[in-house]
Amino acid sequence: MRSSLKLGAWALTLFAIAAQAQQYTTTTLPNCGKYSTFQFPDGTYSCERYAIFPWFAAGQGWQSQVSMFVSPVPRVGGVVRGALVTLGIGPGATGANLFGGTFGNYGAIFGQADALLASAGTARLDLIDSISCVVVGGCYYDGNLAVGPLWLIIDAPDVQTLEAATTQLIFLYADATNVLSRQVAVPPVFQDQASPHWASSFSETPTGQAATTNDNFMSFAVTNLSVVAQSVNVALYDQTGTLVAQKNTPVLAAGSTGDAYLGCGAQCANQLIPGGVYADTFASFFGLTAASVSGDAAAATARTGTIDGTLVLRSSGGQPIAPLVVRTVGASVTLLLSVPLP
Amino acid sequence: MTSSKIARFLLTAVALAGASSLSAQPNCGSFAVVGNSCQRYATFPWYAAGAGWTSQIPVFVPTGTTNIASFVFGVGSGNTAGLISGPEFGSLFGGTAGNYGYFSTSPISVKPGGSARLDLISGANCAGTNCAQSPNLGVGAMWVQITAPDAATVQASTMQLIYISAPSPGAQDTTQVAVPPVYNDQATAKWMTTFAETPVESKSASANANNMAFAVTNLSGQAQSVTVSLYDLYGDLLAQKTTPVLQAGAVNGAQVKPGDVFADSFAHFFALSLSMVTNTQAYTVASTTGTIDGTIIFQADGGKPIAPLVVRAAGNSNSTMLVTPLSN
Repeated sequence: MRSSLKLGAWALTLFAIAAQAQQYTTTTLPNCGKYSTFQFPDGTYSCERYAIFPWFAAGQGWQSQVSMFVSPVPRVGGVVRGALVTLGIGPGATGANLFGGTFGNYGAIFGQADALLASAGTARLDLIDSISCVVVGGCYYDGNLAVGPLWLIIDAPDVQTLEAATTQLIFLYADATNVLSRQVAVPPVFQDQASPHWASSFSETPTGQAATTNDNFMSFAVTNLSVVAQSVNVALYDQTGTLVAQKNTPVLAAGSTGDAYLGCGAQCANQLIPGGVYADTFASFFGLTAASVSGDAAAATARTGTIDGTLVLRSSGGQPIAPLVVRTVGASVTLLLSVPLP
Repeated sequence: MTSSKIARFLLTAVALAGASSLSAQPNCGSFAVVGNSCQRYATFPWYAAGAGWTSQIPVFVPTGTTNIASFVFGVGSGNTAGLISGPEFGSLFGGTAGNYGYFSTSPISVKPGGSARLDLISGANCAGTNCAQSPNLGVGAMWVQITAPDAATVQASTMQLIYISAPSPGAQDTTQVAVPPVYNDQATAKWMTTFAETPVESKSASANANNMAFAVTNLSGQAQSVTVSLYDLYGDLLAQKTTPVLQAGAVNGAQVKPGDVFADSFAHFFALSLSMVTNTQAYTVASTTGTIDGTIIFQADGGKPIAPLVVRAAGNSNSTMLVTPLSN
């Protein structure tokens, strides 16, 4: 564990799954290119890459599975290379501790976890339930739905191995009969690819009309990936590019740099821990009605029953943000791919 | 749906005034130069249309770009093999903005800040110019051409494919899975992702059994098979099997349109059982969790590009597993 664990008293070193010794550090200063260089207390170095998931969900029927793997990279000097993935709950989340673990070995309570992966290795961290902890009395299941951003650090001995490490988060929801009815995989937002400006498609059934079995319900989450507080302008455009609606989120609390949050010194200054997060449904945030569109877009809505177009998120401070956009239809839910814009 | 004489027409969804090419040859960077335009190619390894399935392909061109982008979608000309074998439909029923008809290729023009959504409703049986919707499930690979006067617009043009299904007509949709395209310029002969599969002997005992499935299409101009390998959490080989030879794709200038596509479930292709897990640590983990976890690697035997898709069903839910191209 590399940090001072300001997230809470609980941390978990999950596993060292490599069947043979492997290295995620190097004894010589690596050329990390656009990535950060980190020196561990033992004097060894790594290249570091940072990522976040804007939203996880654990509890009240929801689970989040974080699967990760390192694509095969050849040995160097006979040494198996690998990566250390560190994951933590962002301060903008509803709580600081979770119940879960890996390999079915549950029982650990953690706010931060490490996973050590060899080349071609894989692992899966399951976030299962919300936990509350008090100084006196320890920790207990609080029965809540824990949600919010996660941050990740990936350490590897060189850029090749660093870029071979990847991860995704899969939301799972079990209904009252304990049958899984929803499953959505989302990619991480790598900090080096984050932008103040993002776009995605949307398809939303207008409010104010008779409900149908398969109405489209869009929702989004967006987290502040900068050290300044900022709001986010969320705008909807129809298929002709005409503005349909726009609205600002409340001001999202600033995030922190790694050195301030994790206490790992100036060399962590490049990492951004996500700050506040805002999540809402289109129905609640925008309240789109059929009257929200006109012309060709209105004619298309009359035929399809949905308003279709593009969702654009832009931070007010011009600093990076990280969004997540999903659509629910009937009993199904899926990700809408978000792309960073210049 | 009755037959129609609008078979195989080119469905122009959004006709927009404006230049889609320049008078001078552009600098297209890594994209193809076709006439005075830049062109990029992509593939969806698998679509599903008909028999309760719909595929939606939303596209958009972000604000900040300066030119119209043209998307052309077409169905692959190869065969499907594996769980569903046979020739692919040459035409589909569907369209944009609720204007549906029959088509074999579907061009859509989108201006900066605009978007569109192509719906694939069903396969089409066509005799000459007369077409009718097929009651059967249409599946296979789709190719995409993106054309614009400049590389920036081509690069910024975005799309994905979303599968939707309901157990019966008019019933509640129970499956919805979004998948990104495979851009031909990023395709390789080797791909990887994670998996979690309930052993075959345990599937019937769990309402939430994990059922993995995959599809892989040949994205090269030569016939080749694909070796599909499963590794446990510790990198030990669990199972390995090779697909039949997938016929070559059609080469059209700089574009290679997908050839044959092979699709199967892990249960059918590998019959993965707990007894196949020989690593003692991996066996302990699988016994504890009820699933065998690890990585799946696709390797084209001809060393030429392929495009895979991997999904997981658990209970009544489905999700894609994000695939990563590897260097050969």
